[in-house]
Amino acid sequence: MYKHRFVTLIAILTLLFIFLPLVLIIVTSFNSANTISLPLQGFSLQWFTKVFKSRALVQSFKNSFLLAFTASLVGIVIGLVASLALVKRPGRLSKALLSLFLSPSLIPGIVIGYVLFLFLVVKVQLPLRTALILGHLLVVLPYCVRIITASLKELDESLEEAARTLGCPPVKAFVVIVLPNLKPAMTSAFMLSFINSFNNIPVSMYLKGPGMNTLPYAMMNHIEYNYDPTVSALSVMLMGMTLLFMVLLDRSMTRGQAKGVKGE
Amino acid sequence: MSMQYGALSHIDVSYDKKHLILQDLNLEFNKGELLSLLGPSGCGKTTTLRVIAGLIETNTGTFTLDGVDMTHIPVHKRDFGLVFQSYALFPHLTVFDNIAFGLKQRKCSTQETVEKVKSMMEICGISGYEKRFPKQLSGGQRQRVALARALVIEPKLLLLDEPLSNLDAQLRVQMRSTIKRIQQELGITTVFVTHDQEECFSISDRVAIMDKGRIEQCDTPQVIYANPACEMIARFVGFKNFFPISTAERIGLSVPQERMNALLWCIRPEKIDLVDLQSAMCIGTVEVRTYLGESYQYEVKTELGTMIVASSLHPPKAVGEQVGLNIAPEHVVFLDR
Repeated sequence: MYKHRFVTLIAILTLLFIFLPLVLIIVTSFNSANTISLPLQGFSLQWFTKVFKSRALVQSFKNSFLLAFTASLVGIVIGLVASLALVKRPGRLSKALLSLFLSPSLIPGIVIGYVLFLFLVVKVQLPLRTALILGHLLVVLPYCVRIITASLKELDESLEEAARTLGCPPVKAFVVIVLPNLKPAMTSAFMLSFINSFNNIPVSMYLKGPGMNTLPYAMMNHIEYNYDPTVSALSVMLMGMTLLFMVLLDRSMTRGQAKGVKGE
Repeated sequence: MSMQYGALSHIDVSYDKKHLILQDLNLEFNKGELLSLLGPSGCGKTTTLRVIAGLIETNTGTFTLDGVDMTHIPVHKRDFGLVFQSYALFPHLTVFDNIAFGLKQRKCSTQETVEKVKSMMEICGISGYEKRFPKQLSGGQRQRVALARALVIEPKLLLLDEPLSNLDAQLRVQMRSTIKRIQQELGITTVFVTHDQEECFSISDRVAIMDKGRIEQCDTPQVIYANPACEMIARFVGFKNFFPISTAERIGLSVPQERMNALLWCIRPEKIDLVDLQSAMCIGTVEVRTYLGESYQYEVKTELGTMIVASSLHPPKAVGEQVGLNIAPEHVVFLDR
């Protein structure tokens, strides 16, 4: 352990830097004042009810949720299939393909959004919803491929072979032996994908359109016209949701071990 | 007495169509015997095992078992038990479910499954661990679970792929006698892959020594130990002194008539005696002395080259000292290659 007063000070400052804005948002969301401001005037839950009264916010939340859910789900399926191919057939080609799969995470989102806008919306004229799903798929795919590939590499190849020697046909061996062992990876890939898609601004910026807005945009719009703590209240709820996700993620990651401890 | 049970004939295997991993491999095994495949890493022993298991396709050749051609029967229909080097226990299943896995594939009734699993766990000495997960077991226990899982399906063949290499030395000795005991109790024909000569010789009925994708010698451990077929095997079983056949005469060693075509003669370090200079067959100088506990190992420089001698002579010879060496002719082995 390295202990020093200076180090402790920096740690405290960093923590403040991270958490102070969050605390401010939480505090102002319960403030009865009409603007996002300090000092507090009184306790109120009105901004929370206001969130649900705003059609723009509720509708865009639904949009974002559905979008993130669909993109993550498709991302997981593609990620799984891609990872299987990449891990089971190692070679120069699969190395190149892996970098290709991971490349969207290296390209600025704003570029991806722009290119997809030109191609999917202007050229192919896809419906906005489909274009958004495809765009977000590009955002989440690197996470899915990376996490599932890593987990698949860790998995002992002989597991599947062992199942086969014990009388299990190949496809069934994959389903009953390999898949259950990939579940934690797939769950965490899903959660990470969901959060990233849900938070995404640059790709959505180009692909959203009339009647199809995402939550981050609706929030920015709202702030532009009403400087009230509704967005604070919404942010608090989003933080709550993310926290819940993180807890679920942690649970699913450690489930195997937890089960093990019970058997002890 | 024993009859041929299974046979690999003229097996060729290559992964890239250029290099043969196995070349024209022929191997037979008898019912109920424990046959070992022994050789350095990369010699093709694990590949041979995987061919038997059906996990590798052969280019040419056939594999028959009990008169049935198994060459193209898929893995899951072969009914062989395979214990992997990594054990390959299913991490998400309990010990019980791991062992019961094969029986479930065979649609055994629940009661039959429970009975068979319990009795196999008892044979393998892991009763009471039913509800544990593989992660919670020690290496030796995992090994036993893997063994039980392979045996509970009453396989026609038991295949063991370096099953002891992940255990510490003490456990390894204990486990190999456990394996031998279970193998004899169940009378199951077993093919055992290892690179450890001592381990292999101690439990095998017969040993097939492999090198570069071929079987160099296949015989009982006793025969191989006394009469290795080639230099590689001789080195493997502890011969350390190899000399061209032409040098035999120079130290008064006579080559038998039928071994006139041999290229080398060799002898174990412990079969060379340190004697006084007058009665010695050859004379040399001690260059290096290593303490082995029971004895000393000397590297002695002679006119034939360096000889490795193991001797418990007391007091030990010193480095630089002149010593006489006597080579017992009955322990000399002549090699054709």
